[in-house]
This record gives sequence, structure tokens and C-alpha cells, in this order.
Amino acid sequence: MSSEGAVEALGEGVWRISQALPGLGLVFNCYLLEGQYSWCLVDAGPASVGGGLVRALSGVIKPSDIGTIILLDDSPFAHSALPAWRKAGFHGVVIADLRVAKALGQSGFGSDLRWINDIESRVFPGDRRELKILRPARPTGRFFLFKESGAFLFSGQPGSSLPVPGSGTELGGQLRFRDQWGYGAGPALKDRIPAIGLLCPRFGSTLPPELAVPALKLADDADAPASVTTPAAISGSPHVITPDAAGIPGSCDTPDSRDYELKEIMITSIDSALRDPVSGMYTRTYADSFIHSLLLKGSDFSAAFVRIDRIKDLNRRIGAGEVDVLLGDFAKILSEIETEGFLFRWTGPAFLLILEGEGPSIFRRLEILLKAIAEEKRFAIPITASVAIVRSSELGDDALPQLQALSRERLKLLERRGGNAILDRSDPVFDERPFVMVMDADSLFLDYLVESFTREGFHAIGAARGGRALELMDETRPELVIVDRSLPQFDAFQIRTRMKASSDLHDIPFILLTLGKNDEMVIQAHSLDIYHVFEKPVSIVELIGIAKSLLSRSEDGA
Amino acid sequence: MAPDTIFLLGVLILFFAIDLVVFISILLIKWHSRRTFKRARVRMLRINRYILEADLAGLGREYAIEPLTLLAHIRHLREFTTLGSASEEAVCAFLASRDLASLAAGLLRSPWLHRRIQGYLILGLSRGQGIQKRLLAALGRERRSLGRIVCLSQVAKQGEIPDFPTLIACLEKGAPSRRSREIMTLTALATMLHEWFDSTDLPTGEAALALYLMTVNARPVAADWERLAGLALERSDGIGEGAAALLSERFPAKRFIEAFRDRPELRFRLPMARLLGQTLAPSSLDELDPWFSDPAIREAGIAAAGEVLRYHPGSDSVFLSFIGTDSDSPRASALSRALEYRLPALLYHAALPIDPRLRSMIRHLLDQDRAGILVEVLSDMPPTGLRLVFLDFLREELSSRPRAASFLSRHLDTELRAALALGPPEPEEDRSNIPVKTWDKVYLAFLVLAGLAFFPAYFAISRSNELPWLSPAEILYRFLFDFQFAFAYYTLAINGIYLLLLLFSTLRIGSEARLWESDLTRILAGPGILPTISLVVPAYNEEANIVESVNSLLSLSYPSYEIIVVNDGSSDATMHALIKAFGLEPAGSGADGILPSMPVRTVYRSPSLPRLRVVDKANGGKADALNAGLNRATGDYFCSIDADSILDPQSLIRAMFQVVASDRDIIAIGGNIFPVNGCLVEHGHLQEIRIPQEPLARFQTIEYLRSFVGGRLGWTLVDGLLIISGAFGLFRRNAVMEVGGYLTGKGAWRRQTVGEDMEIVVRLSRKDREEGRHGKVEYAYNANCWTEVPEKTRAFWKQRDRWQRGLMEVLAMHRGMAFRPRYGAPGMISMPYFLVFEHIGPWLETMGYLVLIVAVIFNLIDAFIPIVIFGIALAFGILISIASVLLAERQIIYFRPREFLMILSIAIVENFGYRQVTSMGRVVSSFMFFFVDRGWGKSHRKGFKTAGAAPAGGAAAPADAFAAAVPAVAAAPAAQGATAGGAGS
Repeated sequence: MSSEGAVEALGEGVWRISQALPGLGLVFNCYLLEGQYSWCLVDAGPASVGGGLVRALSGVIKPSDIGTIILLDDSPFAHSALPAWRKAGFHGVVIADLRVAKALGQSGFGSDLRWINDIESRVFPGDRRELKILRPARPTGRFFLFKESGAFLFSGQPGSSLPVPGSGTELGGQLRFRDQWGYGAGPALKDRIPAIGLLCPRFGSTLPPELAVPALKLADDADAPASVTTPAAISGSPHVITPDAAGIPGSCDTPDSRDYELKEIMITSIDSALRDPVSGMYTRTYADSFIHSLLLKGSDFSAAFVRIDRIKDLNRRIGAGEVDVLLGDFAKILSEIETEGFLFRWTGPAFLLILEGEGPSIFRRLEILLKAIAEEKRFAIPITASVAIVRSSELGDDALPQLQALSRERLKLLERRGGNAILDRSDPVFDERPFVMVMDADSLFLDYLVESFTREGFHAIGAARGGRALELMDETRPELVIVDRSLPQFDAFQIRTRMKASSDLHDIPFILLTLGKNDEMVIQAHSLDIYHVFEKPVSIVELIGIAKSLLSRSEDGA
Repeated sequence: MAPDTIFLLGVLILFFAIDLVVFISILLIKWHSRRTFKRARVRMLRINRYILEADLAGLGREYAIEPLTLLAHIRHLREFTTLGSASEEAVCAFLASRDLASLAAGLLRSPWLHRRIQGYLILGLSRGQGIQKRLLAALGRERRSLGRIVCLSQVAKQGEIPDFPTLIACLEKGAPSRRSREIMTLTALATMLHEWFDSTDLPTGEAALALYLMTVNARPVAADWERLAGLALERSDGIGEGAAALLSERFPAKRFIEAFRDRPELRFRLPMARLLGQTLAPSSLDELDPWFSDPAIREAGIAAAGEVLRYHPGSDSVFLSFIGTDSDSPRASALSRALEYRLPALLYHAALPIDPRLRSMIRHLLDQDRAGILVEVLSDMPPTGLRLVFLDFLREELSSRPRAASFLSRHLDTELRAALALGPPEPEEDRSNIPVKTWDKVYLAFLVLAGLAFFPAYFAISRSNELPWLSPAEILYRFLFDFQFAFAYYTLAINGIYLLLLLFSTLRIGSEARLWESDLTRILAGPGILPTISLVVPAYNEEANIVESVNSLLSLSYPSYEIIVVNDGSSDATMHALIKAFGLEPAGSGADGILPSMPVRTVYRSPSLPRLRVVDKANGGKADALNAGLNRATGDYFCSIDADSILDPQSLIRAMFQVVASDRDIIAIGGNIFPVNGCLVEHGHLQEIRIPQEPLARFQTIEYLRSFVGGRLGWTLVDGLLIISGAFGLFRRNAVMEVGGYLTGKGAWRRQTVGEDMEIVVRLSRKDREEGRHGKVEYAYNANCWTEVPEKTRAFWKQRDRWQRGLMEVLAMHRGMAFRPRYGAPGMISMPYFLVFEHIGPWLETMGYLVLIVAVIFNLIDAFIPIVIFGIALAFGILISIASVLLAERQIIYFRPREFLMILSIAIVENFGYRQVTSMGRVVSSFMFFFVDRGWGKSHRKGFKTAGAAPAGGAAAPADAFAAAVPAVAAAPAAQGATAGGAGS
């Protein structure tokens, strides 16, 4: 029962701060990773500890110097200390389990939040460090392995976030993790942890300190000799901190259990809201912040947008419900084939696969992926997919919008080329022929219009029925549409309303043809942002002129 | 075998053979037409290329293959687009190089209208004085109105000064009733004609004067004032009216008012009132006094006051001060009427004590039987001191006004009745709830008995010499033996009639389709040629889909129509949804029409959609709502549409094409009804036609196809069509107004019926013949409406019960028409047909089947003949069904091959049970009609549709969902509310 905190250097710029857990008779450890510009704190601890920790460290480094706090637990217990940190001046990034992060976001915690949520994922706390997090697929189990320049830092309890006596010994000795429920990670885990450098339990101090030393040395042997640096702010080690006795239990209230339950419910619902119900993958919102974190870190990656080809056609053939099932299967099979990258559901039939690195190897890998999809027998009907690659080096300052624009453009191009292909650059040939879609119920006139436009160097297609026109528009993304007022199935105004509601089609220029023009109709057209209304008989020359002008204008705007 | 047996067997075999032949030829025709269509399209694409490339040689080759389609295609393209200078030059050069005139000359002499039209259109392709001469010469010969319109449109297209005297001489030859249409085709020449009229004395012919009015309408100049004023003062006919209207519309209002202020004629008075309303300041309302005191123009004066109020919305208090306190002046009562719709607002802002002028206004309203607005006011009034005072005031006033008191007691709830010291609502003694009197029933029952007794009597007479010598068993045997043959001939007769109708339909559809294929839409779409249409959409609790329906109706492709939505006192937010979606603004309660209907609260207009109006009225049932809509309709034709029906965007123009093409006055025109069940509908538009899933609805699909396409067109050929479906039918508004609108139990016809839509057609035809006119009930074979049919058995039976009941009510009410040559084909053919085959027929059929089945079961006769009879009915049924599908798909393919085959199989299956059971159902309905006195109006007084039950909650409320779902082949969905809002029972 010690209320003292101890700071000790573990090497590689890793510092351990031990703190007694009041009332539990256990020592809680958290780790401080030294960085060139900012520090990273692994596990801020529960409120009962954290408050003391803040005080303990505040004499050593300023909380505002801590750039990142990584939370290792998914219970509210784990982040109950954060407000204290925040109060003390911490303004960095919090990397936490998704549920925790979402709960924090909901509770109005103002920091930048990042998520950890895969079975195996990496965290980038800054300073080009990479921490690898391993979690056995168990309902409550959490344990984390931090890889840092070839060395690993292990922390946590397999099985539970509560301390289990003796686990550290086993952990250090045989790399077999056992808890009171008899759970073992088995040899597979051993394979996944090739070189244990630094293993640090979250609770207690049963891990023999000498274990850390040889491992560290091992790492030293493998790599270039790492210099053991001492955090500049902490002179001398181990450094003993004696916290203000009055501050530890009193400064932060222990959250009561009802509060936990409430939060649990809230957190669970938030998590499921983030996941796409069809594929079970996280959606674009999450993907955006993931990419954002990658960009912050400055790492090289390739964003591969994998999309099922001709999804509209599939929708028509087998129905939307069946397509949803197909999408679910596709997501599952995709994650089976491609185990290394990070998968997200992008939009509609498109999935985002984030792969490390750039270059031809990625291209080859994706070729294999496409081949595997095309040969896959488990789908309800055979499907193919297309991949649009955007490399991180293509992105400039405005990275996320650029990524979206590039991916949209490339996917659109792939669609027009028929699919089952990979594209990693924008096609210069693509924009040469402006793409016009004409809709008119009179098929004879429609044919004539299409023919006239084709002769004037447009790429023109026609549709005689409104329903078909909408489908075609979704599939082919024309650059200009010319629509007759009265079409079967959908009239021009309904088509326009739908276009305006669609994020992809709302800015396509629109020309309205009509048999009789009257004020009422023109006013209605204007209310839908249609400013080009032509009365039949319309002059082809005029129509083509306006089309050219509209297209050049929309190019300027882009 | 008896010769009869051999004959029947022969018929059976013959008909199955015909079935087979028809079926195979249908497949061949379909295959062939698909191929022709593809080839034609390839050819058109080729022609397009030649035109765009200005390839004269290519066009020449195409001309050599088939000149007519090439020319038609060129004309078609020119209607939609100007070809561009190079192409246009080439086309003109090409047309000039061919001898179009001689090609057309052959066509112009053709006895077929569509050929002549082709000839006019070909002549119209080229230019020149000679062409115009030919056209005018042809116009002199042309007798058909459509031909004249097309010919004139081609004259106008020439864009050159025509030979005026000849042109006017030709116009004078045309039928006066079609003249305005013919003249409107010349709008393009208006400026030129105007110059010509300027340069000469005004002719005296009717047609010439009408033509002159048209040119002034297009381009009036100050000099026209004198001529028009002369015409307006001298002539009291249509020309005079037109001139007066032009004077009021095309010249400054002040000038018109000054010049004609004291003219007593209505043609000056009515526009004068309107102009005064627009120009008067509220402070000079007494200018309208002369209008208020003359009963002939009082309504016009009130409308003018309404205009003043519309132009000066804040002038309520000025109006009130003119109404004054206790004056009995006609002005006060008229201004009260004009201010009526502002009453809720006035009371809302009123302070205690109530303004005596407001009291006076309410007294005036009560004196004029305008208590309807009070129902609204009282129901919405918050329980404040004002309400108590107001109720006291009303109680006092009502004590001396028994009529208003009895009206309010019918429409207010118990609590308000008590507060106003009103007695319980008196039953409306003049409402004959069931229009059928005992004598009618006796008449109809007698017919049934006579029909049933016909064969036994015939049997007794024909076998009179042997009957006394036979034992009862032998008599029974002989009877059954003869009966089966009699029944067989009855079956042959009824199917023969169907077949005949089908044949007539085929004949008519051929000529109609060829006319439609002449592709005249662009010519007809010109101003003033197609009649204007008022779509009346009765809506009761349609909150969920009313906005979508109206939107879909707004996008119909028809040049001139208005939509009048009648909110029939919905208890849900229908009105609110409409106001929100279309930004409606109240525009007064509108003039009261002549047709009886429940009180109208407010008429709304949309500032951005002038063609939309919404009438908000107290609940009164569908017929009542239609009457309220009719009172405010302005179109030449009026069309009733259920809010949940889907109109084909082309349906109006197709129906009205028939009106323009016909040389007779069309008093009503119906279209096809197809079941929408199973079809894909999105945003009020039909996306995909499919066959319903429910077996019952499937049977109805084929039944509708047969009865609409196969039957009704045939009836029009003999001029005997008497049924137009309530879901989609167009009527001449004047004619409907003349006969007093729909039957609601009020007004001139103190009757109501469950079969209002058949009834109104019969009444229209009857009136037309009685007035010695020669109007026609027409049917548009290609104008489609899609509506819900009942899928649940109970709803289905209710619907059929109402059809049969409606039919019998009509037969009873109009029994004076049957067998009277005065009523022409409807009296001599249609009514007898209904009596024999629709009224007595089901009884005969049911009896026949029962007798034969019993006889076969007891082994009294051989099963052979009954089977042959059934086989014949089957073969006929299949034939008629197949041919109906073929006719329906003459121009548009509705069904995909798989569905087509499914329809054919349904056509076979329905003969095993469905037809027999529906026939028996009709017997049951007839029986109930005779012996069970059910007040339909009472059981469904909530209106013609139950809250939201229609498409959505059909399963939950089948009993009422039917009302919405009834397309009514024979009768309309209409269980009228006997009184409003269900409050007065």
C-alpha cells in the first residue's frame, strides 16, 4: 500500500511510472515515451491514480508537453483520469479504444481523438514511433504490444482489465498468457510477437526487472546500438515522486457504477452507429479520421478503392436486398483475401483498403486481389471489381478532399471502361469528348439529337423513359443532361429534384426542352435551378452552342 | 345424335380452332411488328444521317423505297427542331426536286380521312403560292373537322398571305360549332390577317367576324376599338360577346368602364363588374350598388366586391362600415357575402362587445342561408368570454331563422347544439335515400320473373300437343332435354354479342389508330384547338399521398388544363399538406355554383401554379365533392380523377384527340382502366407495368381488358355506350351543369345512387336526346388510367354488389328510356341489353348452371351437352380475351412476353369458377336489392374513402378500402355521406 510514485527509465526513451492503487493494494504502471517534440503517455490510469499522476509528473514535465495519451482499456475506468489531465493543461491527441473515444467525444471532451479498434492495429503516437497493438479476439480481453523501432513494449492483462496476480510471470517466462479463466493465446501469439523487447505489465510489478534488460539488449544487437537517453526534463533516475497525500483520492471523484452502465449503453450504441450494418466494417467517417491520422504522421500509404462493378445492374437483376447480402459477402471475402491492409466501407459498393507503402508491389497485390474476386465461387452470382489507387504522395495540402476527388474520378473512369481493372492515374484521354445525355420521350427525335451531338464531337447517349434515364445517369455520370419536360415514368422536374438530392449529380448542368413554354413552367424550372429552357422546335445549332458553353464553364469551375 | 347436338359440337370445334388460329396469329403479329419496328428504326437512323450530312442522293434512295414515311419523318423532325442551315437547305432542295404535289394529289381525293391528312401534311412540307391554292381547294372539299384543322394549319404554316376571300369562303362552309378551333389554327397568320382587315371593310359573315376577333386578340390597336364597339353593341350573339370581352381585356379598363357603364346587357355587365372590382378603391364600394340590386347580375357584383377585397386585403373594416349596422340594403347583404370567408379572422380579432357591424354581417349571412361558415367558426372557437357572448347572440338570431337553425343543427355536434338551444337534427325528408320506389322494384322483379318463366312457357306451348299424354317423369326428362339446348343458345347469343362488340371494336380501333398515327399532336397543341380541361380530384383523408398525386397530375402533357382538388372535409391533415406543399393562399369562398353541394369554406390558389386550385369544403361524399369542384371548374371538359389513380401523362391528349377528331359533339368520353395492383409506382408515376400477384386481382385484370378494350369501343360504333368508369372519365362541363351534376340527394334531383358515374352518363345521353341534339358518348381506346382493384374477397364482393345495385338503380330510374326510339341507340339497344343480359342474364345463367349440374348429378341427362355448352363458353371467353389483349396492345406494348402468356392462361382459368361465381354474386346482389332495404348512404357516411385505408391499410380495413379501390366498371365508388361530417345523425 504505497501512495508513492516511482519513475524509472526502461531504455529506448521509455519511462515507467509506478503508482500505488489506493485501496487495492496494487501498483499501477503507466509508461511515458519520450519524443523529440512531444511526449506520449501510455495509460493515464483511473481517476484515483491519474489525479496523483498529474501532480506527480507536473513537477517533472509540463502536461502540455504531452502530445499523446494512449488509453489501454475500454472501460470508463480507463479514461476517468483524463479530465484531470485536461485541467492540468494537456491538449494533445487521445488515442483510445473506439468506444472510449466515442464516449469522450460525446461527453464533450475537447481533445483530438483517435481510435484503435482492429484485432491487430498500429498506433502512431508521433515522432515516427509505431506501437503495435495486439488483442486476442475475446469479448473483454485486451492486451497491447508496443513496437517501437524494433523493440516491443507489452502492457496490460490478457483477459481482463483488473489485475490478476501472477500473470506477469507467465507472460515474461513462456509467452503463454493465462488468466483465471484458463485463456491461452497459444503459439500463434508467439509468432506474432517476433521479438519481445520490453514487456511491461499494467498492474503490479511481478515482472522481474531483469527481463527487460536482456530483451533490450537483444534488440540492441539486432539493430544499430540504441542509445539510452534520459528524458531531458527528468534528471536522474529512478526518480521518486511523493504525491500530495491529500490530492490522490480527493481530487477526482470515483465514478459510480450507475454512471458506467449508462456510458456502456451509450458507447455500444455509438459504436454500432459507426459501423456499416451491411458489411460490419467501419464507415467513411471513421476512414476519414484514420487517413487523417496517417497523414499527420506523414507515412507513405496507398488508398485502394475497391468497388463491385455494375452495381445498378445487379440491383435490377437480383434486387436491393440480395445486393446487400452480396455486399456483406464481398466485405467478408475481401478481408479474408487481404489481411494486411485496413478495410473500410467507403460509399455504396466501394470499399477502401489502406495499404502501407506505394509503388508497383501494391499494384501487383491488387491484381492478385481482383483475380481472386473474379474466381471466387462463394458469391451469389459471379462478380468482378475495379480498383482505383490513390497514393499518398499524390496528395497535397488539402489531402482529404483531393483523395475523394481523385478516387471519384478514377472510379468513374473505371466504370466507363467496363470494370475489372486497376487504375492508379487519371486518364488524360478521358476528358476529350464531352459526355452528354439526352432524354426525350419521342424516340425518333431523340435519335436525331444523339446523332447531331455525336457529329459535333460529343459523346452522347439517349434515354426515352425517366426511370431508365435516372439509372443511366447514376451509372455513367454525364457532364450535361438535356431533358424533355414530359417523360414517361419521371418528368423532367422530378429528375432534376433527384439530381439535386444526389451528391454526385447535383452539379451537372441541366437543359430543359419543352413543348409549350409558359411563365408557370419557367418559374418552376427556376426554382429547381434550371436556367436553360428551350421551346420546341429547338434549334440544334443553339442547343449545341449552349452545351459547349455550359461544359467549358463547368470545367473552369472545377 | 340430334342435329342440335351436332351443331353445337361443330360450333365448339370451330371456336377452338379459331382460338388456335388467333393465338398463333397473335404471336406472328407480335414477332412481325417487333421486326418491323426494328427495321423502321434502323431506317430512321439512316435518314437522320443523310439529313445531317446533307446527302441528297441518300435521301433520294430512301424516297424511292417509301416516300410517305420519309416525308413523315422529315415533318416530325421539323416539328421538334430546326434542322440547321446546311441540313435545312438540303432538305428543302430535296423536297423541291420531288413532285410532292402529285404525290399528295392522289391522297387528297382519298375517302379515308387519315390519307387525306397525310396529303395535307405532305403539301405543307413545301412552299409556294401554288401549294396554298391546292390546300385551299382541298379545304373547300373537306368535310371532316379534323381534316379541316390540319389543312388550315398547313395553310398557316406557309407563312404567306393567303387568298383571303377564298379562305373566308372556306371557313364559312365549316360547321359553326367547330369554327373557333379552325380559326385558332390560323393564329400564326394573325398579324397578316389583321393588316388585311385593316385595309378593307369589315365583312358580315360569322366566320369572317370570328377570324377578325382572333386577329384583334393577337394584336389589338387603338383603331380596333371602334369596330369592336360597333360589333359589341349591334350583335347579341357569340360575336358580340367576344367583341365585348376583347374590349374589356385588351383595352384600358377605364375606357371600357366609361364607354359602357350604363349598358344593361350581360355581355357588358359581367366584364364591367370584374373591371370595377380591380379598379375600385375600397372606399368607393357604393359604386357597386346598382349591381347588387339587380338579381341578374348580383353574383357578378359580389364577385367584383371579392376582387376589391383581394386587391386590398386590409380593407375588412371598410367593408364592415359599408355593411353598417341594421340596414336592409342589398349592398349590405352582398358585401356580407363577399366578406364571408374573412369571418373566422374577423372573429379571431374581435373584441367584446362584438362589433354591431359584425353582428349585422352575420345576420345577413344567416338570411342568405350562408350558415356553412359558422359551422367552421363555432367548431374552432376557443372557449373564451367572446365565445359565450357569440353563442348568446347566435341563439337569439337563430330563434327567428328556422332554416339556418335546422342547417346548423344538422352540422353541429351535440354540445354546440345545446349551447345554441337547437333541437335535434331533423331528418332531411326530401332526400329519398334509396331512389328506388316499390314500383321500380316490382318492374325489375317482374322482368326477372318473366325472363325466368320464358323458357317454361315456351316449353309448354311448343310441346302442348304431347304434354297431356306424358307422365311427370317424362315431362321432366323432356324439359331438361329441351332446356339444355335453350341454355346453349342463350350462351351462344350472349357470347355472340360479345364477339360482335369485339368485331366492332376492331373495326373502330383500326381507323382510330391510323388517325392517331398521323402524329398530329403538335398541330393540336396550338393555342385554342384542344378543349380546356378541369381535373377535379376529390380527396378525403389523403394526407399521405395527395401532394404526390397533385404533382403527378401537374406533369400531365396537355396544353391547357386546371386542377381542382376538392378537400371533402378530411379529418386528417390533407389540407395542411396541400397548403404547405404548394404555398396556397386563400382566395375567397368563390362564387356559389348552381350545383348542390355542402358548404365550401375556402377556395385556395397557388401563386406559383395558377392552374391549381383547392376547394376546402364540409364533408359530403364523393358526388358532393365532384359537384363542388364542378361549380368552380372553368374548362370545356371536366374530368373526375380519384386521388389514388394514376393517369398516363398522354391520356388527356389522347382522349381529347377523339373529341377534336369527331364531327359530333362529344358529351362524355371514357378511357381504359387497368389495375395498378402489382405495378411499380414511384412518385406518382407508373414505373413498370406488372401483373398483380393476387389471383383475384389477376382475374380482374383480364376482365377489365375484355370489358374496356373489347367491349366499350364496340358500343361506341353503335352509339350506345352508357358506361364510363368513375375513376377516369371526361364530361362536357356544360352538359353536366345542364343536367344538374351528380346525384347527391339534393338539388333538382332529390335522389342519390351508388352508381353515380353510370347514372350521370345515362342522364347526359337522355337529356341530349330529349333536347333533340345529337351528342355522343365516346371512348378513347388508348387513354389509360391505372387504379387499385380490390384484392380481398370481401372488398371485391362489396364492390360487385354496388355495381349491380347501381346498375339496377339506373335501370329503375331511367326505365322510361328503354325501348323508346326517341332515345336512339341508348334506348333501343343499350338499355334493352342491360335489362336482358346484365339484369336478367345472371339469373338465367345461375339457374341454367344449377339445373344442369343437378340434372347431371341425378343422371337425368347425359353430361355431354352441358360439357359442350361449357366448352363453347370457354372457347368464346378465350377468344375474346386474347383478342382484347391484342387490341389493347395495338400501339403500345404493355405486357412482356411472359406476362402476356400469363394473361392468356388467366383467361383460360377464369372460366373455371371465377365467372360463374361472379355471376352468382350478381344474383345475390339483385336478390338483396329486392328484399333487403339497406341504406348504403348510412353505412358509409364518412365519405367515399376511409382514412388512409386505401393503398396502405387495405388489409386492415378491407370493408372500407374498397371504396378507394373501386375503379368501377359499372359504377363508381361512392357511398355518399348522407349528412356532413357524420355529425348530424
